[in-house]
Amino acid sequence: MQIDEAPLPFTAARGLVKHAYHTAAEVRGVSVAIDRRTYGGALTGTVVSSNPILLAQSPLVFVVPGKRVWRWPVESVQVTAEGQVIARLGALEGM
Amino acid sequence: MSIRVRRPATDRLELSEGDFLIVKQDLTAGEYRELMRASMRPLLVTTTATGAATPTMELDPIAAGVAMVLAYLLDWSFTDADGRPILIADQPAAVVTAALDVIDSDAYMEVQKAIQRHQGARAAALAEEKKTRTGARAPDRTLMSVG
Repeated sequence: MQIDEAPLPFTAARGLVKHAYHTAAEVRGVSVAIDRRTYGGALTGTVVSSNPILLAQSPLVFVVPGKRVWRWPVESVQVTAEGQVIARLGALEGM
Repeated sequence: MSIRVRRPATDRLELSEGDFLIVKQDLTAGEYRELMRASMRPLLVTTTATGAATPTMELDPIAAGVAMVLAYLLDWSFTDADGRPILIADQPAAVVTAALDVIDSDAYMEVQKAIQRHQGARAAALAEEKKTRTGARAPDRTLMSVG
């Protein structure tokens, strides 16, 4: 892998997996490896609260709130038994 | 069989001076329970005959107002004294509560009254919807093991 193909690292203290305005999961220690070509990525972090019914809804988005809001569509998401979230994110929708 | 989960929808409530609120159209059961929980305060009722104190709950009108605002409010157009947006969208409840504490009391009351009106209007609309709703009743599902 060439250096310029390496994913862009993105970190944040807190992010939310959302179905419309409902919070399906609150994630701490957010880490997103952003694909330089698609601006989609792979999300990992620690789930502090989640609702399995909302996590099964569609569409879901992953939002990092703040003055500049980062927002990706969620293509797939799973919460491990250890409370880690692993999600595949589509192309960045806004920031 | 009927659908018992609503698609999440929002409403925009217009305020004075061009400001607005974005609120949930309706609350879910969980949000409603949290609203009820946050609206109550513990109370010890003492029986004069025995002097025994029985723990119970009573409505706290101040807490109930804030709880209702927190339950419905998603975003607003309010800014601070320097014109910077006061961010509440997707913030933890503690941050939204802090924002509600720093705005002018008149502004807070305008927010609370607008949400109260919204809640009343939605209750009326839902009652009307219930009257007109028709649904074919699906046959009862019976477990094979008890059928």
